[in-house]
Amino acid sequence: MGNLVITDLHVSFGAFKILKGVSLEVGRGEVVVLLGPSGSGKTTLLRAIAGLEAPQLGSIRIDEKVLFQGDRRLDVPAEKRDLGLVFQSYALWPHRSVFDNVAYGLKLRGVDKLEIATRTHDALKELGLSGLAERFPHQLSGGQQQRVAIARALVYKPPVLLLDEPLSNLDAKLRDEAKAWLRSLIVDLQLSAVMVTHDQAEAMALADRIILLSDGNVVQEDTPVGIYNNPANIFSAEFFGTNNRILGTVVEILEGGRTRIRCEASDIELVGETRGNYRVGSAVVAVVRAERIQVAGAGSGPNRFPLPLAHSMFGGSRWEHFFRFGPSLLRVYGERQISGDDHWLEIQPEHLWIFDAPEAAS
Amino acid sequence: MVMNPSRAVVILVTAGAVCLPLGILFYQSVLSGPFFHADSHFTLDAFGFVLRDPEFWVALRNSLLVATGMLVVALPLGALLALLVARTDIPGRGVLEPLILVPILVSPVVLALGYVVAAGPVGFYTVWSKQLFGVAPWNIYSPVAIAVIGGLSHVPYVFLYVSTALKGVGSDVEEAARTTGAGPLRVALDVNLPLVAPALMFSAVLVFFAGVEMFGLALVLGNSNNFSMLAVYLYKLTTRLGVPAYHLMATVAVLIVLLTFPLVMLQRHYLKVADKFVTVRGKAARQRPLTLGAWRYPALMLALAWLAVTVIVPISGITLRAFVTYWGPNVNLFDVLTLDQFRFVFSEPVLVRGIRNSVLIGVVGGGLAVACYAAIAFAAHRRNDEWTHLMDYLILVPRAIPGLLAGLAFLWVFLFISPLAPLRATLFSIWLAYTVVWLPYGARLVSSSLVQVGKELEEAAVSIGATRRRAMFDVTLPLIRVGLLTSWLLVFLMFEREYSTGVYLLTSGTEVIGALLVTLSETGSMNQVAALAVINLVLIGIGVITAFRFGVRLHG
Repeated sequence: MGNLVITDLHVSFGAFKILKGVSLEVGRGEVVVLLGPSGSGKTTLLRAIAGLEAPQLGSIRIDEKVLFQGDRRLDVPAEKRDLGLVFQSYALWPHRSVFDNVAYGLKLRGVDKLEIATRTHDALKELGLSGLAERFPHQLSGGQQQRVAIARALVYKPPVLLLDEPLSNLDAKLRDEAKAWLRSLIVDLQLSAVMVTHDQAEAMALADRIILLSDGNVVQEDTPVGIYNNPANIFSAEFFGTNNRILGTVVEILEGGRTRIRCEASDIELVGETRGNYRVGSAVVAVVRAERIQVAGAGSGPNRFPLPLAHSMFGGSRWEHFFRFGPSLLRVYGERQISGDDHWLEIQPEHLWIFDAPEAAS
Repeated sequence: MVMNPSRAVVILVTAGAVCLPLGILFYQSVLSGPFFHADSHFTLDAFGFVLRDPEFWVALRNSLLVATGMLVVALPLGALLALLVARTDIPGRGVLEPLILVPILVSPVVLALGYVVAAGPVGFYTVWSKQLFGVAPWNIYSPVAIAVIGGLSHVPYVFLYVSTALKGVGSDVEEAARTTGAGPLRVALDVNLPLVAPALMFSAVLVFFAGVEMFGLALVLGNSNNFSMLAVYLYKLTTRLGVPAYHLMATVAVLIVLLTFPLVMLQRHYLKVADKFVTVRGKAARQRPLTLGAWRYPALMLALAWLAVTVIVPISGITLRAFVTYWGPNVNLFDVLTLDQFRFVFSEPVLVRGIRNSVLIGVVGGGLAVACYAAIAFAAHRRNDEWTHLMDYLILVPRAIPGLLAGLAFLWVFLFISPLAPLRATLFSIWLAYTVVWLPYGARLVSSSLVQVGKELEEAAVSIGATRRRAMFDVTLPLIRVGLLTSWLLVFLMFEREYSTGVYLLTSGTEVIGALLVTLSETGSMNQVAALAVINLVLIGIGVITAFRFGVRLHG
């Protein structure tokens, strides 16, 4: 498995800039997930690595092998890059059997017939497709098609496996199973992989490291735990989880990276983490995840405030409570059903992230 | 379940309209004389006679040779043009596509007459070529020329099916092969070619079929050399024997159907294979055209050369011929220009009736035919019982019966069934024959717009209390209105183009331009023939312009 390095990659279609200088590194045996909303350039980045999109600038290398270098006008064609790409649509060849789909890459590499047979059958076995070698793609279920697509990309042992939204064509139940299965496959085979998704749960479950893209730029990169618990900016913060956005103004900049704000929705003052370059009086946005607000016993204290309960929804593993917060609602996850009118809520300062208001930041 | 009575009527009438003519052909072929003679008895003598006639074997051999020749010309050229227009950056892609389809709209007999006056021994281009270069190295009356012209004029069919298949191949399956390690050429050979293969095979059978049933081109171009093909053999049987030999004609017709029916089944098979490939296609990814580089203009030249030979030469020839009194070497074009031919055509009651009938059969007849096709499509709509399967086969049957044979069979139907006899000399006989001959085409047009109506739209109407019939009239029918109008236009074009079906039905009162062209071309009065052919082209042109104004794609 190889070490993929991308530096300052630019891709544009005509006047439309898709990637505006992206750099990243994928270590040996590491799974990196490219995450972002649609139009963020994540699929273009993956296709550029595969050699299916032509960048204008930057470089792509795997170990010592240069795949693309803008200033040397070096661009290795897709078929010479020796990577494995799993398509969102699977792109199985409908006129070839499962065996022939998987064996094709080996055939192109001039592997002798006997070895093709053993290696193909090994790959099919590895992916739980043993009995299906003679079937044709249209005779397979969606999940089986996906496994064939992965087997086809893995059989010739590419240094890096590229996956484009591998789970998006599966229905919800199957997707959950496939997610667990894919993670164990990646760990067992110690794959280096780059995977594209727009689904944060998928990204957090499968990634060693998440690269969050927005509008052709890398917004943040970190481990799933790091990026979830320690977002660098408001985009990262709001991309993951279920959040509450609290608008306010800065009252006081405190010691130890804390800031006190006054909420716009009510007269409450809250202390949270300083995550922006603002001064006293600046407009700010504070973000807090729904599971980080506690429904506490009665009694005032720091970062505690009472709010009236509007309604609750039962979500199986938890309750989702909505509190009236000025003109808007505050969403709070809880373990128990609650009733009555006013409840005291508490937010720990380290879970309230205070950013520049987006208008002011831009 | 008790069958809905209107559905039963539709199925019964369709079965009658399809099976009666075919049945009568088979019945007549095993009789000793005309079926309406009391002393006709059961015998296989007619088969004995035809199969012992050396001329039949010559005609059969010629048909198979011409069909093979057409295949050799049309398949590579059609596939290449499809590849160029569908997948490369050839200049003028958007304009080329409709232009390539033009020959589908022109009657083969008009095309053949066009070649006679344009490239025959004293044709315009022959004379001009001799004046300019001293030679005109072609003979359009040779069997090879018939096969080549037949092949060139069937290029659009190959183009149509192959380009549709090429457009259906998603970029993703090509890219999957690229990333697996296949270069562009390997991708074309290992992915594109196998995926397009069913469409190639389908159009190959279609072209071969067209060669086997060829009539107009063979009749007009083969006449001077006595070059016979199966349909021509049938057509000339009466002249050769001096008397109409019903049992012999029926036998030849049956032999032709025995040859064409397996071809239709073969086409059906390839269509199914192609469908299997389509259903597994992933999300349609955008396709990027291949860059031709220096080959862009040579490729365009190839397309234009084909267009010049197949469309421009014959159509300019017949048009020019319609406006000159006579033509030959040493004639100055400007001395012979005239409108007299058109004046003559419009003063001749038979020809005027023919034009009027042609317009009627296209506009009114086409509309009525679409109504019938719609009724048939509805009878099979959202039902998956044995009756629907029966209808599928019924709709397929007329495809195996070439127009000339269908006309003959319907002539006998009108003679055989006495209640229908009074309708024999009316346009109804022509309309019925046309409608049945074009049933496979028309029914598919209508049902392809029907399947686009979501099932749940009808179910929604039923769920709030509409009967199935109500739902059909209030929901489905309004939704396919545009599809029906499109079908009407396309059926109009096909009815104007049709010529062979009307040949045997031609009598006083049933004249249509197509059939008139066939009979008049034999009497040799090229002046009227050319004018009539141009009028036919004008009618088709009006249809095409209307189609473009409504944004109808000429391939349904």
